[in-house]
Amino acid sequence: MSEFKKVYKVPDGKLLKVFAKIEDGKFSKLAITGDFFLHPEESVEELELQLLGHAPNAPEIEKSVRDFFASPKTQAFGITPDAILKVLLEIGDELNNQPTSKEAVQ
Amino acid sequence: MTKWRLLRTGHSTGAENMATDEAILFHHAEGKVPPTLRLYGWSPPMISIGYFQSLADEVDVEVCKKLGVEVIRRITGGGAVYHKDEVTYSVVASETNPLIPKNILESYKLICGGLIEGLAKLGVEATFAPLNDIVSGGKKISGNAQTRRKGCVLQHGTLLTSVDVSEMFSLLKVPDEKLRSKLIQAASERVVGLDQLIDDGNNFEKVVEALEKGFAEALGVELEPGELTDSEKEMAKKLEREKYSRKEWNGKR
Repeated sequence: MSEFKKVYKVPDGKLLKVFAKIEDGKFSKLAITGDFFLHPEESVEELELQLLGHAPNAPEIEKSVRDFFASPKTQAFGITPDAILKVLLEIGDELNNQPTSKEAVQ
Repeated sequence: MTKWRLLRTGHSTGAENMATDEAILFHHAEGKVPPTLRLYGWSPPMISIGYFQSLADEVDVEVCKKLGVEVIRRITGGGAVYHKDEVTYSVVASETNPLIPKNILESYKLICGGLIEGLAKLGVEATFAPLNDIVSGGKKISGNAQTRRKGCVLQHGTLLTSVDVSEMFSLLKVPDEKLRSKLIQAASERVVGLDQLIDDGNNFEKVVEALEKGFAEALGVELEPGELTDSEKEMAKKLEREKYSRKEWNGKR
């Protein structure tokens, strides 16, 4: 299992902090946190749930994130689908560069 | 002229304050109370964090515990705030209220106009800095946060009457301890309290009065002094007890 914390300043936006746990190459825990605004607020938890069980670079991840932001009921300020995807893909890259035999905790 | 209710609820604990804003929102959504402006303060000082923030990542929980500083999660997004010397407001109105722009940015601008007008009454020039700040002389004097629930808008925000940036940073986590003093320096250059701009700027009552006038003008409403209803008080007590005092809510992210 690997744990990740990624901090990213969204261009012209707020500070995004993603906490993730990966087991068997897939997200087993994910928290998309930061000082941004998303309406309705609780929907972020639905998005996090949708992303669990997928590898960071799985096509389902990109689809879920893009669909979430494209939904007419979502309004976002200071956070973008690109910012979230960038961070999740970085996690994927780091995961792929890790020695597979050892548990790595960042 | 449209009449709105004005509540001056003085200083309360963090849990009580956040519970009261939510109770007003709920009651207005049910059509039981008029659109409302509430002006209030915080005692003892405490920290609120935005809905999406990770409590453990933003706040030094041990230091807060030691100093008895409560930490509460808001139902609104945005950043961590140390509430001490400030006047806080909340505005609750229906999304269908003709005064409230549908567009979220526009509605921030309208409601922040109340603070800007209020500051003008105190002789302070300030401007709206989208999305959710108000600045004076290039420095932030007010942060604001909005949610829309149950068909209503709740916007609350703070007008800093005095700031102690080092005290604030002693309670918040910093990414790198070596950078703490630099961050404090940078924040002092970015943030300003009213007492740095005018004489007697940290006078709660005086600022409350100015904001009442400012909001009435900016919103184009008549503010009628009122009270929380028994039902609002009851719901606020319940929310205080069952939500804002519990780690299930405050520590949920």
